[in-house]
Amino acid sequence: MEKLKNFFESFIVIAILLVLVQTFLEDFAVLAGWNWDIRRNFIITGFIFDSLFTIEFLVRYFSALGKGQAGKYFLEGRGWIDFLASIPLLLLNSGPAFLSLLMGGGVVFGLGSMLNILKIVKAIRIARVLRLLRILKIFRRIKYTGSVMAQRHITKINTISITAFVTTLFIFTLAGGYLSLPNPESTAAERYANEINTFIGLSNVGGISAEEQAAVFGAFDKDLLIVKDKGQTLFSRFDNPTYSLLFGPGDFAYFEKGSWSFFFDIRKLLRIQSVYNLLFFLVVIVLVLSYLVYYSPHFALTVTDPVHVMRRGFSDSSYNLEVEIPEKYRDDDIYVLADLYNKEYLTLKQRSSAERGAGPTMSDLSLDDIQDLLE
Amino acid sequence: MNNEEEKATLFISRLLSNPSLNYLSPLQKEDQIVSFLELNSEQLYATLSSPAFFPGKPWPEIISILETRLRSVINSMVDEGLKRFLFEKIDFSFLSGYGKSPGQSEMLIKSMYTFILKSLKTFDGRKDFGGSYNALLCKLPSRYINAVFGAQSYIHFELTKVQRLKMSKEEITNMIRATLLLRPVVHIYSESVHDRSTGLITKQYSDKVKASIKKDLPLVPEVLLSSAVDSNLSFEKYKFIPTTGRLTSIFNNMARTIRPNMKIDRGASSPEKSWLSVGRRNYKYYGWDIKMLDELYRFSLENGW
Repeated sequence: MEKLKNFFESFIVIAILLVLVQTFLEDFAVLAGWNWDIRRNFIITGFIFDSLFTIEFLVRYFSALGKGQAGKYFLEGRGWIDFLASIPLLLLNSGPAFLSLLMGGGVVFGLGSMLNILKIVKAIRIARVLRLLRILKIFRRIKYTGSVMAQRHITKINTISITAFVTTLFIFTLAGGYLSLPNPESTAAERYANEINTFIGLSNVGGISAEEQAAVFGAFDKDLLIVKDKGQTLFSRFDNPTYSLLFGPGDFAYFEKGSWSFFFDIRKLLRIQSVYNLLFFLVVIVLVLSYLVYYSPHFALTVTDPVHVMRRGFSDSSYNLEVEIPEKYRDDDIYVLADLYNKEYLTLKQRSSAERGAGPTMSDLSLDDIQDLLE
Repeated sequence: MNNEEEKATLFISRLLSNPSLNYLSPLQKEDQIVSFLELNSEQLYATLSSPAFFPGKPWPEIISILETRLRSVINSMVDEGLKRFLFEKIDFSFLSGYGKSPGQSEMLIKSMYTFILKSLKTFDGRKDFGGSYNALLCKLPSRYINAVFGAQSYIHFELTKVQRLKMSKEEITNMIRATLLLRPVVHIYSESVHDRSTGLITKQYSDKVKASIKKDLPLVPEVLLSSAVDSNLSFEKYKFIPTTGRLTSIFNNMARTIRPNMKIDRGASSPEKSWLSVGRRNYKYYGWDIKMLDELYRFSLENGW
């Protein structure tokens, strides 16, 4: 059972590492304009990973529930991280993307909801930042210090800052849509609406054929992909093989008004969001690395190391090493204590331990070393 | 070797082979094992009184058998090291400055060897020798005398102008090494004559011991004898203690707590620096020369010792 549990934990750690790579590459693929075939694989793997982590959360949650410890798991056992980094992602991000993939195309929206379409697309993509919370899951599994206190403190500060960062981003982005803040989506939506209205208005005037009018609009707006009237294609920027190669279901917006249909290329908007996502990803990685590489040694130097030395000195009668006090931290509480330890305790300890005929001190040997003989 | 001794030897060998003792000197290993036996007497008695070991014997008898075997094993280890120091590593040519011919020096070394072995039979002599032996293993004399000659400060002045040693750096180092080995012989003449908390002896006892040693070791030069015996006196009370004696006292006490090749915890000072720092605060109590401790502390700081 223990072996199975260890295997499961190791498997999850590997999965977290892989999903971080996947998250980075998925956004990078959008930014770099990689072909749809490649990007489709990232959507599928993202869905698989999110499903896996959802199952992991449910297994852990119901296992804890069975033991009457669901609350403890959720609050103290970091179940909330397991939750945030699984179910919302499956519902808001990879699930819809995967469904869209299965349906083989985008969803038809009316012109009035144009902005909403783009907001939903954005919300779906911004939900991806929740994936970054998975770093916390792996962070707490790394044994980067021998001190339980250091591990707990650094994990805590890491959790607070990354969770605060990710949730603020998530909430701000979601709420931002309802606050009518200027953003690329609303600008694009306004432009598409104007363009569609102008196109339909001009088509009623006459004097120029609908095909010619669509070609002119296409020449001016590089985002306009296809214009159709009553199902007949009047303008298409690319041929079908090119669409298959470059475009996925989420890469274009499709609008209908009267007998007219319009397809717009929204990959530029997706690229902008990918730039932000990559930026968020890098911020989180830099934060984690900073805690591991800079703050963790600093915490050890200024807190756990002097405590460890003093603890050994108090408990081991043959251990007489002084705490090394760095000049710039001399006034820190811990080093004020260490100074007392050096000057008062060790001084008296040297006198008492030198007493001739004193009783036995500690021994580096333990009964465990000769357990086979004792058995 | 009878059956019981064989079992005791096997048990002791097993303990001695423990990797956690690898970095200790032989006498430190002995201390560790004695502590281990005493601290775990209850659990060990259950096993050691079984038919596989010493059936039916009470614990005091068992521990006596084990400690006797332990001392015997450690003695052979120490004997080997002592011979190496006396006959190979320490250059006694400094004795020629005191009118000793090579033949006399050789005789002196042999009699010193016998004397030192005698001191190992006493509890306090053994403790004292542990410090001296470890000081040599850790190369304290050579390292610090080298620094003393580099700094040409207080200790150098005391050695060359006050004690007036007309010797080279190497000769002084060898003299201190020899002093360290000779120091425990004060315990041969009477056990427990010192202050139990500081290990210091009185001037009267020091004079008595010197007179006795002169009879038993007639070839030992006065300067070496005074250094070794008076190193057990307090410098606070007796300002005449030779510089080499004061250094010997410090090296001997310092080395008792130092473990060769000890892994130093992050955030802790080195063993030598720690000991010298604490020693500077206890100098009155133990009768050490504070100026000497200050200088040695500075060397440990500068050299990362």
